[in-house]
Amino acid sequence: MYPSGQILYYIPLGDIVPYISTINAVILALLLAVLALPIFSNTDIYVEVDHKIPRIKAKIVMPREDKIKAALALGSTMAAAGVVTTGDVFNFTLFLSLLGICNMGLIGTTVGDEFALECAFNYGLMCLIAGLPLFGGAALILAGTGTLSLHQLMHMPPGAGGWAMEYGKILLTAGVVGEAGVGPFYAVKVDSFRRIWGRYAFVIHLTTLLTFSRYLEILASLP
Amino acid sequence: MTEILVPKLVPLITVHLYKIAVAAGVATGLIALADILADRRPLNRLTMTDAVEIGALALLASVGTDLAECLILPGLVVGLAELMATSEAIIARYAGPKRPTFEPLDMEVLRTAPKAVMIGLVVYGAILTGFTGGAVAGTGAAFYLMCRYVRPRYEDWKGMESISGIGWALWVVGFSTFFLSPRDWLLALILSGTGGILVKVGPKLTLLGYAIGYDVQVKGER
Repeated sequence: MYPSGQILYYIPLGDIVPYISTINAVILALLLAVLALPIFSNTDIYVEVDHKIPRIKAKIVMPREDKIKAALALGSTMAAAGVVTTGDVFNFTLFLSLLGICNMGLIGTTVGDEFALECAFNYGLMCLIAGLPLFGGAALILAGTGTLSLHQLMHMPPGAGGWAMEYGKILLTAGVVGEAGVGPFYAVKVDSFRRIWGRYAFVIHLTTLLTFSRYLEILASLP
Repeated sequence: MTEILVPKLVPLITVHLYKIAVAAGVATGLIALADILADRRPLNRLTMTDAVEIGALALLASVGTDLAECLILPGLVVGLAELMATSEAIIARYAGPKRPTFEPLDMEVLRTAPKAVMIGLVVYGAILTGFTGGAVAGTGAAFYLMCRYVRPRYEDWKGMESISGIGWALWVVGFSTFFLSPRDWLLALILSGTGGILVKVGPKLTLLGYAIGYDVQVKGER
C-alpha cells in the first residue's frame, strides 16, 4: 500500500504523524550528511576564477558572516528533514516554504555583493509566486477528499476526489517545481550559486533536490 | 463526492460556487503574473507577487471547512514571512543602509474621530471576546494611539507589553486546566477566552499603534 516501501517507525507527534519508511530513511541520511559537510569543513578563503578577464578573486570570509550562514543552513536542513518525514500534505507545503525562505537568506547574506541581493530577490519572488499553486493544490486536495493525512489518502481507491483531486495534483506539482527550483526554474538558482562563495551551495542544491524526490513519493501515494 | 463530504444543510448553490471561487483564485494569480510581465520594475514585481499570494489565500478560503480555516493562518504567516524577507533584500539592494524618511499623515478623521471610534471598537471587542474580539479591541486602541491630534503621552502606555505577558500566562493556565481537570471547563474557557486571548491580542495591536505613534511624535525620524 505504501509506495515508499515498509514503514520503519511512526513518530508520535499529534495528528500529523510523521513516519520513516525505507526511502525516507535513505533521503534523511543523505540530508544529515549534507548538514555535516559545512560543519566539518573549514575553508575560510574562497577563490573564484573569472574567465573573461583572466584573473583570480579571493575572499576571506569573516566569522560573523559564516556564523549567520551556518545558522541558516541548519534551518534549511531542518526544514528539509521536516519535508522528508512529514505525513501531511499541508505540512509538506509549509516546510517547503520555510526551506525557500532559509535558502533565500543563504544567498542574500553574502557581504559586500550587490548582485547576491538581486539573486536573493529573484529567488524570493519565485518562491512567492510558487506559493499560489502550492497552497492551492493542497486546498484542492482537501476539498476533493476531505482529508490531508497521507496515511488516509494512501488507502483511498483510485479516482477518489474527482476533478478537484486531479487539478490539485497538477497545481501541487507546479508549485513544488517552482519552489524547489527544478526544471525550467533552475535559472533562478544558477546565478546565485556563484554568489554564495562556497560550501553552502551544496546545502541549497541538495535540499531542494531531495525535497523533489520526496515529492515524487507523495505524488505516488495520492489516489 | 459531494454527497459524502458536504452535509445536507448546505444549499446546493453554495456547493456549486466552489468552482467559481477556484477559478477566481487562479485568475487572480494569472492577472498578477501578466502585470509582472508587462512592468518589470522591482517594486512592481514585489507588490504583484503579493497579489499572487492573495490568490493562494482565496483558494484556501474557498474550501470553507474548519480545517481550511486552520490552514489559512499558517499560509498567511508563511506568505508574510517570504514577503518581508524579499522586501528586506530589495531595501538593502536599492536603498542602502539609510532608510527613507516620511511625513506623518494629516487627515481630518484623525483629528476628530479617534475617541468615538476607540470606544466603539473596544466595547464591541469586549462583547465579542476571544481572538476576534481581541483583534477588534486592539484595532480601536491602535487607531487611538496612531492619531496625531490626540497625541497621548507614550510614557503612560509603557506597561502594555507586560499586560500581554500576563495574558499569555492566563491563556496557558486555562489551556492546561482543560487537560488536567476537564470538569472545570467553564473556568478554563473564561480564563483562556476572555482573560487570555482578549487581553493578549489587544495589547499586541496596541503595541503596534504605540510604535507608529512614537514614529509620528519624532517627526518620522528613527
